[in-house]
Amino acid sequence: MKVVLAFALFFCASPVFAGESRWIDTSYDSFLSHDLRESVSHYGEYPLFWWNHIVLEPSAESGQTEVIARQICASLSESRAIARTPCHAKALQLVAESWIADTPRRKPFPAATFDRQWQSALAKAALPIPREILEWLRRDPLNELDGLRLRHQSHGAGGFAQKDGLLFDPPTGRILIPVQFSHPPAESEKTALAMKVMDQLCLKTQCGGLHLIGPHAGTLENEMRIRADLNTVSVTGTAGLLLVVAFLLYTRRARLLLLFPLLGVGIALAAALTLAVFGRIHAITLSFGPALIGLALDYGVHAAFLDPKCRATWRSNFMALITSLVVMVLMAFSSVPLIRQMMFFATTGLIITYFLFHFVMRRSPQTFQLSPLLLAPRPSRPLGALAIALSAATLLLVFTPLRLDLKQMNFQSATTEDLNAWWMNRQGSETPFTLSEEKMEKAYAAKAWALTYGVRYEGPARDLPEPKVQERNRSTWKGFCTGDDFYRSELAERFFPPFQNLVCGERTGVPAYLADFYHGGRWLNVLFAANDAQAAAIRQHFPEAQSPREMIRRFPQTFARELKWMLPTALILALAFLGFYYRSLTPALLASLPFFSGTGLFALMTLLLDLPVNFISLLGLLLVFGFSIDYGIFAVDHFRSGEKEGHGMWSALSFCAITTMAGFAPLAFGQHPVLNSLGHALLWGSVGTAIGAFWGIPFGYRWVRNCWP
Amino acid sequence: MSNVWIFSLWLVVSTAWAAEPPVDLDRALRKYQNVKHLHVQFEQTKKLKDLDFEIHSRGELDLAPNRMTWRIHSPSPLSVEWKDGEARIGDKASVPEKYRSEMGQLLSWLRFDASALARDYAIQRPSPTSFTFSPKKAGGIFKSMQLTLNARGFAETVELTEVSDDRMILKFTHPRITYQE
Repeated sequence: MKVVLAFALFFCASPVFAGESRWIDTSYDSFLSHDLRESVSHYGEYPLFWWNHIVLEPSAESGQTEVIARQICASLSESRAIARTPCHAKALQLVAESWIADTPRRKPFPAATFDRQWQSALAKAALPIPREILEWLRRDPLNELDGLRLRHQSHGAGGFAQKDGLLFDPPTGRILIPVQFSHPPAESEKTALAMKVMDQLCLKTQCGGLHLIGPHAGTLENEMRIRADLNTVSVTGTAGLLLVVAFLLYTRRARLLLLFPLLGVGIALAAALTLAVFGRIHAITLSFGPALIGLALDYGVHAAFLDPKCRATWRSNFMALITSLVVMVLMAFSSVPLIRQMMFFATTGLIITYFLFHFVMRRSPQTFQLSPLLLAPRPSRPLGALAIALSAATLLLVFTPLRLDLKQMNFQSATTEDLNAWWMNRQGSETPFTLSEEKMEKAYAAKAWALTYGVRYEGPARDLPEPKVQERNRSTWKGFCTGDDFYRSELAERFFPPFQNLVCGERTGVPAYLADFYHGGRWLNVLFAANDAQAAAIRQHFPEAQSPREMIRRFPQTFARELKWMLPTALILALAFLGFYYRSLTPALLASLPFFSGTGLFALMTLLLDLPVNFISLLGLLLVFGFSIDYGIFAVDHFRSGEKEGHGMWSALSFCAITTMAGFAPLAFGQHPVLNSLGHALLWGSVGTAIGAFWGIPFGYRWVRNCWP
Repeated sequence: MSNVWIFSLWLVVSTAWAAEPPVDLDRALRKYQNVKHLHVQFEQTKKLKDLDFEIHSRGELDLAPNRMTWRIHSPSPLSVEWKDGEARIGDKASVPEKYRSEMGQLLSWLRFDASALARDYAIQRPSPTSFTFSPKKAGGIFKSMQLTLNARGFAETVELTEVSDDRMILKFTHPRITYQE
């Protein structure tokens, strides 16, 4: 039920996933601590990282692949979603024009050779050439575009052979078409439309197969997978929800549904408070947070099946709330902003909902009071022993490697994985380091340093000399631009005005050929380390420089460091609270038994099914911790009360456990690693919790009573 | 039945017409048959219609079975070499695909191979010494071409009208030909 609610909210949030919203944050930045955030933002914001590659599989007919590639290039140059592709002149027009226009900034006026170059351009124009090429000669008599062409060739070719903007891989026969999207990777709806056009082009040209690789492709593939998985989950979840409602209606316990509006109010207030504190709320907080707040339903169901007025019931509920809050409050100290926000949202939501339930249910108990279902688990020694054995299996987690890297949250189909491996193999092993600077002076310093150390540099300083040199160069063009007699000829006035208009015109803003390196007043510089020594030198000279590989490595390091103290502290604190509550350690351990049996079953299944234990599994186990300790407290309190049957408590527990399991099970069949990991942690965690609560606690309680009557 | 025969006969004849050059073109261009090497000087005027501007150039053309060189001396030295399907302008290793195919169209035309011309162009003979060629397939750079032969049977002028209505007028002089044995 909780999960259905969570995903209902996820769907409400999903339309804003694709685009920017005032309230909803969809960035990846929130995954990262403050020091990593700035560097990661480069990847989404700077157009340099909007380059992707279309991979064309070889066609059956030899030589046809290139023809098809050229046709696709021509069609893509018409697409609004594509900003640039080096395989089609039209798509490069803006860049080329801005490059020519900036000639006076790059070079002094070539007075000695100007006439010769001018005549040489005219000789080319005399050739039988298409008019569009002739027009380029009119714009570029100094042949400046050759420099731009070389610049493009040195960028991104890796181990591929280049020809007219296409990349060739002779061993596989594949052709790559580099394309730069005109939108950031997060706007996957636009990417999806462009992909549709590409697929149609492939169909039309009878290509041998077409794939897209790169940041846009990866984001789209992940989102499509999540959507496909969630469609399945939402269908089964809705069916489950309808079954629960039908069951409640059939057994005349529909008043339990009254808890949902109260839960909704709790979630809404928590969201409002989160917005007030954080300014924006992350979509992942909105997806998983409600499930955490949904834990409060356990308190309401527990009170409804027992006695909403009874102080003892609410005392158990309060203790269950406290133990859930212990973990959440501790995790709110994480350096990962997303976890901080999610824990704030969950903590406030849980507290608000608890007090709403407490206030409303105690005020009008008759509205919520339900008759029990006459359920009680039959005592079973084997199942009891199984629960204890599962608890011991928790130790397996200590020996299971924690995979906390960001790749664990990334879905890649088998084809994408193969293509990426092939691409990386061809690209070589240069490690890029990025530097984002407000001032161009630092870009020149980085370029000068790179030159000294033999490090490859990409950035604005590569093509533009320092301002004083620019000024000096420009001053030499004044005579040409003001129309000296020497250049006032029929040729200049009739044939070459496009060149004069470009180089002598007013220029404002960032030149198009440098747009890849510019965003929001900052310039991006990239240093490529060819070996470890260069990487060490970059790190030493530019401590603020970041490399994607290092960022991917640092996220798990940060998170693992936190987990090392958070998890044991949370467990010890929860046990301490329980010990204080029961004034004895034995019931405290018994109450925590469902958590251990749940975690133990999950640990066992990770070994049996070769499942990863990652960041998302840990979030799942946090949820398991929340509800399993609740079940433990409810069951132990029942035994300690001396009541014999306990139908009310077992009804509440059965209802909560069955809806939790039914809700989480479909997630385990999802193919996206996030949903799959969450699903497995919650499914096995909740099954193990049920075994621990229904059979482990009665077994343990009897054993303790027999040993220490 | 007779209709079927006539139709079949027409099919055979029309196919043969399509493959074979008209006898008069074949005869007119006999100086260009079995050429081993052709060298000719040219003067060219390119008229850019919308700019009302003319580019004058002169140079020479060298033709061999697998190679062709278009060398401009004025306004500035520049050579275009076409060898085994690859084009090279000046010292550049290769030229863009589109440029290559357009150049190729003209250069293969300048071989004056009567069979190839008959295959690719619709041919008219407005006067005893001139021929007009219109490409059978659309999509090329040229809309039409006119060839005028001199009294000795060598190409004297070639006038090319581009799709953009720009015109190139080439005047050839001093032809030197060696023939295959």
